[in-house]
Amino acid sequence: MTIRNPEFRRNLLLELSGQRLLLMPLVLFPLFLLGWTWGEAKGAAAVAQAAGWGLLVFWGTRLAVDSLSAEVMAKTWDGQRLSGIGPVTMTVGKLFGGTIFAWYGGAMCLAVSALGGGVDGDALAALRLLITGFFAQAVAFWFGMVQLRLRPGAGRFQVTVAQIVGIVVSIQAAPLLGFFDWQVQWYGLAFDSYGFMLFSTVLFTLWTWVACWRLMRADLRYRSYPFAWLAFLLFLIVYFGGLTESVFGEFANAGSNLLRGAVAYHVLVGVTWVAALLEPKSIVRLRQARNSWQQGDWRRVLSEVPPFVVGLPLIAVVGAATAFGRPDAGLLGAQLLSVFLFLLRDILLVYFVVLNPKARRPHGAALIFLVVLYLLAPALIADSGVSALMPFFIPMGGVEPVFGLIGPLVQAIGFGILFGTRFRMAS
Amino acid sequence: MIDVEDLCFEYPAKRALDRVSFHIAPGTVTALVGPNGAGKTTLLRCLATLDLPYAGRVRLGGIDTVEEPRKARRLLGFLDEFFGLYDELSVFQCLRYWAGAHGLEGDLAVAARDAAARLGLSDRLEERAGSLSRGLRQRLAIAQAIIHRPRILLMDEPASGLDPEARSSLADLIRGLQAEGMTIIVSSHILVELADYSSHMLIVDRGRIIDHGPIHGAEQATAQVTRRLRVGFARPVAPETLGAIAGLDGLEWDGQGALASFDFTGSLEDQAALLHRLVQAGLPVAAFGEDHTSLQDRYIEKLKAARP
Repeated sequence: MTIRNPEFRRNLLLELSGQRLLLMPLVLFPLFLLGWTWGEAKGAAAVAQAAGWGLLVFWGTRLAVDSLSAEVMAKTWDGQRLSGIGPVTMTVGKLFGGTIFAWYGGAMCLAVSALGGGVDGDALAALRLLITGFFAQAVAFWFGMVQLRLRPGAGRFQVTVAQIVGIVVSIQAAPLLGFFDWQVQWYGLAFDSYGFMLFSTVLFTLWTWVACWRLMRADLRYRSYPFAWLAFLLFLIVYFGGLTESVFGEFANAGSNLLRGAVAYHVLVGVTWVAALLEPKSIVRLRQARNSWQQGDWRRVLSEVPPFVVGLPLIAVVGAATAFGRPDAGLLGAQLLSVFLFLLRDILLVYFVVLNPKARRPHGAALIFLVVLYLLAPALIADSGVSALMPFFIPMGGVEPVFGLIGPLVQAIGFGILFGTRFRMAS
Repeated sequence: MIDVEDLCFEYPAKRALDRVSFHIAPGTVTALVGPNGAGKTTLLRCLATLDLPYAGRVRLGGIDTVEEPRKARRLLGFLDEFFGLYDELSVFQCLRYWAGAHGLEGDLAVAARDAAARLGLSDRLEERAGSLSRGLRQRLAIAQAIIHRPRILLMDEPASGLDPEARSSLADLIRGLQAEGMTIIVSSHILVELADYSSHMLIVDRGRIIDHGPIHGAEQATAQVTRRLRVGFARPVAPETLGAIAGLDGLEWDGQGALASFDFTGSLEDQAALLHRLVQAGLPVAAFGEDHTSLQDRYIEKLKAARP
């Protein structure tokens, strides 16, 4: 499939010229030799590992984003969107074709690292680098698409931001965890910390590829439904459900029911919050969804509503199931509900601010509002000694059930009303 | 070939297209005209499946563009005003890429050479796209857009930035594509040039269609239409000679008796008969045809009529 992929072939043509094919080994092999002189096979492997990281993660992330942003900057992206290339083919062609030169050098590094036995304490270093490379590039590409959809047009700054995001996120798979001697039990499967991070990175790489494909689908104007998002939320429930007792149960301080029982719930809230922030916000699309709702056209509603909205009922169900499965259901339920209300408040606030037609950097403005509400306001309250007001700004339903629920509820309703004015202004 | 039904498109603070409906017959060249900001580009982008309409339906060859964008795109070629090329690739590599991208099967090199030949680029196949002149880049962009032999071609300001020779060549090309049966929509502000090759005119103003109809020669030979004609003479003639011929209203002369224009109501058959009468009357007719400035007059007249 890949070699018949026209986008992949075009990238091969651009990236793998004869001169470049020759240049890469001419640069890498002296480096490997230098490593050999320092520590023979282990030295060469260590150098290969470092060079491989530079190629696959540091440079590969940039190439991955560039495969998309270069099209936008060269004004060829609309032509590609109009071509017969489907979203899967386009994603594969760009993500793997655009990075092919990094993989060409990376393959040499991986081979030397594997043949040299990996680096000290990590025999699977080459495999880890391989997976990290895939993951970092996929994340950078995904974030590049997110930026493209949030703000059409691309610049070098956006490319750099996406590159940084790819690199930073991929650090979770770095050998830092080797310092911790964790044993992870995941649904009866025993992992050491390295193994578990590798396993997790593979899983999240697969999901990042799915995310890239979904965003590509949306940008190519294919009608999409939020089932992939729901599947991702279910995956998170299962994934973190397997971790809850074995990892979080080991921390005495965090061993309260509030955290131990609701890890998956809080993760769902977190990813929904991020998704709401990163989703392109269009009052026109929301009005279409509202019209379709009024006409009872559920198929169109599902395709027009932002996917994270469809996940909100699932979060509520997970929260309820979590609370009722615990002996202290009342307090835990109040806490989880207050978190949910704060999530709603934040989503409505962000949408209200971003949909202001006069806003210049609306997402930045929304983030500043949130920083004020979550950090500055509580700090002021703490300093002024009016701690009774704290539940209005921090989820505290489990401690102060009345104010902890009334506070976010009132704010959510308030921002809901303000958000509603955006519909009226546009109509 | 193109059916648009109650098409609406909205920007957050503005409705760019408001219940736009029209039908475009196969094999026609439609001039899409209107003032700046009228909604021409938005309309083209909706037709091209690049933007999703707020409401309404667009069907290309019977295919709904929202429901089946991929199928619709197979029928479609689109040339954006601000098109881009892969400057680092050769003309041949560009064309071969787009042949594959449009899903052509078989030998893509053959398709690339064929498209290059149609656009007069056969002798440039090995040149880098980035080294081509503006006119040749335009040709390459059109070759890329039609390499899959679409039935519909949409062009947004294709003559923008071209020199007179390249514009003339573009007009020839559009006529040639129409002769092959392609349905073409061209958005432009240069009405005189549009009149050279367009069969129909679609006027958009403030997001609405205010006129859509044939321009000249596209109507039925028997249809009674008023058009402004222009006649040129090999040597000056006396104005009263022409004035004596019946059926000519609004006669205007250039002052030297060598060029006249007038309104004529009738079919194409009637127009042919008029030419015959002029020649029979002994007038030294050197040129005879529709006055292209009348297209501009019609455009302005329709715009004025549509505005309160």
